[in-house]
Amino acid sequence: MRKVFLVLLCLLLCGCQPTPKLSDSSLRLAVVYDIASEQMLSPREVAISAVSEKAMIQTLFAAFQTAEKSSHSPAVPRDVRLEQYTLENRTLTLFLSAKYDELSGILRTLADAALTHAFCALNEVDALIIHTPDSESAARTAQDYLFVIPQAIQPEVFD
Amino acid sequence: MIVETTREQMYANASFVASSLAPHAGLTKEKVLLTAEMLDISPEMRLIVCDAFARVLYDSAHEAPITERYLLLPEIGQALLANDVFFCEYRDHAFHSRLAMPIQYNSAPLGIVYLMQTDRTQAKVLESLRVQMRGLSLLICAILLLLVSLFSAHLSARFAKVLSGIRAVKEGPYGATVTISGNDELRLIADEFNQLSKRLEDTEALRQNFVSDASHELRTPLSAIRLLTDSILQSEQMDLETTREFMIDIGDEIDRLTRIAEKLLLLTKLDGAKSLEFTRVDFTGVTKQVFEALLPVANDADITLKCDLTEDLFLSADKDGLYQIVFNLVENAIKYNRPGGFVHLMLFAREGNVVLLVDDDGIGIPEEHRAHIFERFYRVDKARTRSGKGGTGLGLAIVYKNVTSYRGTIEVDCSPSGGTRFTVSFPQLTEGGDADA
Repeated sequence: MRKVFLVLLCLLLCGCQPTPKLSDSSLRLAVVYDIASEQMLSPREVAISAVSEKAMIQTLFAAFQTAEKSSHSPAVPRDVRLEQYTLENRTLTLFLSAKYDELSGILRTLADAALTHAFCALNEVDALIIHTPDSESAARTAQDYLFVIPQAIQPEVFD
Repeated sequence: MIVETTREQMYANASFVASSLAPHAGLTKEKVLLTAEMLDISPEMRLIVCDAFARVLYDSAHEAPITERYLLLPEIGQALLANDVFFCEYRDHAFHSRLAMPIQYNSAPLGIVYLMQTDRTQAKVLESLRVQMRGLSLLICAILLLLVSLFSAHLSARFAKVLSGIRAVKEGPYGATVTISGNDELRLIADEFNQLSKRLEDTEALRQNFVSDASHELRTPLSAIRLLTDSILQSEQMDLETTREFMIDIGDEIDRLTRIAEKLLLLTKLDGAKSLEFTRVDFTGVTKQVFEALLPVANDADITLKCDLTEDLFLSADKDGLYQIVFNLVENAIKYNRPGGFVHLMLFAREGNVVLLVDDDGIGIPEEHRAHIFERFYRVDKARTRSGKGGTGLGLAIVYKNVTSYRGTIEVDCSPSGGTRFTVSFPQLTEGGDADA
């Protein structure tokens, strides 16, 4: 539950801190997400080098393919490749390899939510579309994913 | 209790939805809607149904439903791993309960049923109960505080009574008493104190009497000596024979003073003795010695002294003290007898005790005096003090002190022949060396 609280805290901090700009060439901080064992997104900060827009997006995407802790797993599997991207009308489209479609159920939703929240935090991006060879998602914003969590209390788990 | 009831109720509702939707291979909004309409959802309850991607298919909320959005709550993540999750918390004056239950088809997760319930009625009851309990607790505390204060004041007052009694004894004359009501330890302490105070008073009275008596007894021979010497000095023509008689009288008074002083010294020694060293004493032998020592005295006084002694009777005692007991009793029996009288000395064993009887047919002791004859300086006939027979008034006191020191008893009675009988009894010393209790 502490992690849940951390998620909320980081999301709050994310909204308060200066948003990284694609045109800047200095180092920036961005928030990416791992998947914790409780099927929850766990935020962490990464420093990315914004020498170019492409490098920026590639670096940010690559950050999703590693996990900070051994108990966490990457939100996006390591064998998923970012083929290309487009940014039109403040909507970013990521073209991912077919391996991304192998994610199913809640893991797919968590991966979509992690990418959407991270990329929509950039000033130039309002929505994200994830395109794979077999599918294309609708344009989604961070508001499509709800982290409305009741007050911190340890859930009682019944088998 | 409240949580358990809520949990059962929510489980029943969620199970109904989950079991209604489970037979279908896929979840659709229409199916979920149909099922939800069959359920009586109260205003305090909110039903959300998500698919396997945590996408909300149905939300019973009338205001701002979250349909088509993704609900990434930890309990939903757990439910999609086939776990039931329930928790309840109390905040903002209400119970907030959450239940997430998986919808499964052939063991594969189809989605979840998520129920939220806010119970203000039960919370209100609980809150009211809490307020009442708090009030009751405060009332009980106040009553307890009052009772403790009263009890403490009462106890302090009783202690103060005992304390004032102790101070009275410490500062003033002995004999002060305290009256404590009740039936507790303090009452016992007060009773013990009263007894102690009474004993101190008695002891003090005895001490004063003793000092007074001792002064009187010492002054009597001194006055006699003074009178005799004044007579000798003031009479210029006193013949030698009269002077000699006066000098003999002075010598007698000096002897008497010496005896009083020796016996007082002995009594003081006995009073101060913390632990006497006892040895195995042949009581028969000691009695024989006394008999032989006083036989000439008895003969001179024309008194028959006879004895019947059982052989080999032993005691645990001090030999000199034992001798003094027998000697004093027999000497008194001879001294306060009549010419032609007798003194009978008997020694025998009876019921584990050695008994000494000193019987005479002398002038006897009136009954009203018997209880006092062991007191120091007590005399049955005070006129005897100045006669030739007059003792020191300490002999029987020494006897009594010695007898009690050896765990013995002494009684005085009228003898069958009309005189006096002293019965002294001691625990007999057995062969092994132990005196029977």
